[in-house]
Amino acid sequence: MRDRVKQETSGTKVEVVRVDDRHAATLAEFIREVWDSRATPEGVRRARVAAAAANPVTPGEEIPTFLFLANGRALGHVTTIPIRLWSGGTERPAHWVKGLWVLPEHRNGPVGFLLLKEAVRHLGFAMAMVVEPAPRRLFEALGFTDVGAVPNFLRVLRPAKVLRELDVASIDLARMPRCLSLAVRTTQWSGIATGAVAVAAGVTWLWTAAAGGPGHRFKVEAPTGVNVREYDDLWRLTRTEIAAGPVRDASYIRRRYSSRDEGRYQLVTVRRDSALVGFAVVRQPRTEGDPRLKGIRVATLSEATFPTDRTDVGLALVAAAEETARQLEVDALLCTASHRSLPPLLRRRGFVRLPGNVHFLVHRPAGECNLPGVLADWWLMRGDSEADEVF
Amino acid sequence: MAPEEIVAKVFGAALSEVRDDTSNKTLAAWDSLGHITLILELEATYGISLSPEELFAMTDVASIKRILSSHGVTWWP
Repeated sequence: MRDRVKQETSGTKVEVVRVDDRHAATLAEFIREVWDSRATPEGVRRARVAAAAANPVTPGEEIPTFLFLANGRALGHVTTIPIRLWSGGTERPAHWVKGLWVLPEHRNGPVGFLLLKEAVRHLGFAMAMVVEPAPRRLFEALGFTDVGAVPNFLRVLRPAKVLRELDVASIDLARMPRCLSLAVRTTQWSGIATGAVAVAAGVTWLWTAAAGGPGHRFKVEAPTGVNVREYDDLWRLTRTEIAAGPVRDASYIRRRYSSRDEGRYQLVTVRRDSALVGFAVVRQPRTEGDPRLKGIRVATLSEATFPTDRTDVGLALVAAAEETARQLEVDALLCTASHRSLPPLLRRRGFVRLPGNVHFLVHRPAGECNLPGVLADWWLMRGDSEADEVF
Repeated sequence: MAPEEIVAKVFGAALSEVRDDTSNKTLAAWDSLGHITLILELEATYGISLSPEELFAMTDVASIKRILSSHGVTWWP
């Protein structure tokens, strides 16, 4: 009996493999099925070689990617983004877990669990940004701690258009701040958007100017390159005030934002007396955005780095990011930020807080040092784990 | 304890609703995490260890019973 059942189950040979060159064709086939119909084995190989060369954790080593195979066919996939993690006064290797995907017909089985389990076994410190409750529970079952939902902040740059077009039915107004939901309803019911909103916009502008204008002491630039020494110096200065977060030095900024997504990222710097005191990265919205946004164009403040005790620099940096967003002719600027120093500063710049939907989960290997369990101790932003790619 | 009882307990279903053709496609609560909970419960109850192939194949009550039998597990119907 045992042999017969063994034959039945072993008729389907299942395994979780760490992807290497031998799996390029299988991985390409999975990518074609799920994400990109143009994927080829050769393209996959090239991309993985390039990623290995830029691997900051183990230079030259392939990025950890895992496939769940059933009789050689990939049913599930998870990959990682290697980073350096600042925590406990030191930098250590870590990975973002990313791209967990199980073919729909296999979603209620063990595929996702076994994939993640194998990934965790290889990774050491691992982190994830997860929206949906089902995968969040899966991560938690494998020892990840849900540190919390990272709050969102929205700066409306073109109030009339945003309030007119917002899809009230599909965006939960009950979860929006009362003043904003009232404004949306009033605008859409009355059809008198322009006048009322112009007043609101005027008030916002005056308030912004009085409370947190960039001032004249700082010089704002939109450079195309990254000076390694300057950015590394700024990161070393900044990290002393942060309990934990991805290392944001020159090599990270270059790797993460240069030559990516057809120049969709715009770097903004703030200088004082020619010295770099802060930098931010603004992401242009995708042409085809979230359908609920109904054509509202939302840029993302993907990155911001400045000494957290320098409110004046932070305000100048956010103001510079807003100006960059205006030049991109977007309707609003979204900032997702965890650290306690940012909300007061964003409020002063006229940002409205929205409920967070992206949960930050972290896994600490046995025997390793503790990581902060309070979200506000972490410096996390929308660009982390490439969570800004949805916009 | 019969496998049907374990399935009912893990997924919060009425025992009368659990039949041989009850599967991860017919029980809404039988999601990926529920599947793992079920496996752990089966392993603990019957003192067995299931292979990845067996985990993968246990998508309905009939296959669960077949695989348990192959491990020499018996239960009162």
